[in-house]
Amino acid sequence: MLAAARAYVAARWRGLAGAFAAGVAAVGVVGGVLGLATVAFGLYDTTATNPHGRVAAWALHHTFINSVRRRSGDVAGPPGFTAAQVAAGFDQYAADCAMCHGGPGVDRARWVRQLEPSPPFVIDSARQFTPAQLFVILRDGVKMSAMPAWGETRTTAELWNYVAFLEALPRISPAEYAAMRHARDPAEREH
Amino acid sequence: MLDGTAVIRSLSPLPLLLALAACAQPDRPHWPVVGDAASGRVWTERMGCGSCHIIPGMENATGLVGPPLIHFSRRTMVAGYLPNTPPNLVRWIKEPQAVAPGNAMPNAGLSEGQARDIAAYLYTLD
Repeated sequence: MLAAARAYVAARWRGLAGAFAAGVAAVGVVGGVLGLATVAFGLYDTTATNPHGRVAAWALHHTFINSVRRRSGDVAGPPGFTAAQVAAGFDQYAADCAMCHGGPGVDRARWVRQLEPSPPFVIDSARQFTPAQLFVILRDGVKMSAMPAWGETRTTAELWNYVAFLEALPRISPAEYAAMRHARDPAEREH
Repeated sequence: MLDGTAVIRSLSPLPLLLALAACAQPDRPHWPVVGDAASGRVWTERMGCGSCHIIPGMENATGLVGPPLIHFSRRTMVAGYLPNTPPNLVRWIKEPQAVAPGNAMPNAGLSEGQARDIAAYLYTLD
């Protein structure tokens, strides 16, 4: 009697497990076919004029943030930055970064709005990332965005200059920033 | 005894009451449509607005440089000193440096139409 009940329960479980496995396989096959069809028939809109949907935007952005976190652990940042580093960093920022990332009261270059994902204004980037994380973003760039890996053409000291300026940026007023730009290049005006 | 018909009959004014409650919502300006809100949402994303502003319902719009744009359709002031009307909002979006010289929000070279679309989108933020 007990043995028969046990056999019945075991058979029921096998049946359920089989159905579950078949369900998982079916979902996998359908998912794989949909994924391949998306690639093969151009179903995902890669034009930059249509921003990513919410799911893609979320997935890309959080993949980026978590990748940077994972890869910045062994970067030892300096305990602080000197005024000379901030000044050098501003100079480099004006030359390399401002066209895509703007500044207090200053827009990005006009053509930058045509990029997707849209390069962010970085006024408060130092509040969103640690110095080590900013260093990794600058050195290694960001895949599937327009952010280059500056480590290829800039020295480590120069990379830290960028970080020094980004750390100072939240405390620079639009008027101060305008004065710094004017001092660097008197011809430079708002776009 | 309470039968099903009685219950339904007693609930029948409910939709009407709900509709009245929705109409009676206070402090909700009903602006004329100033532009195309769907286009405005795209422009808002492409102009990078979310790197300085929290925008409800927009992924990655988490900036804390300027004020969050939550409840924008019910905001009283734009730029801290202009009443939040469509013409004022459109002007602020289009030329923030002319409206409040030296503030941190840049002129982005938007056309009148783009600024109106963005304003229409902001007015969908209840």
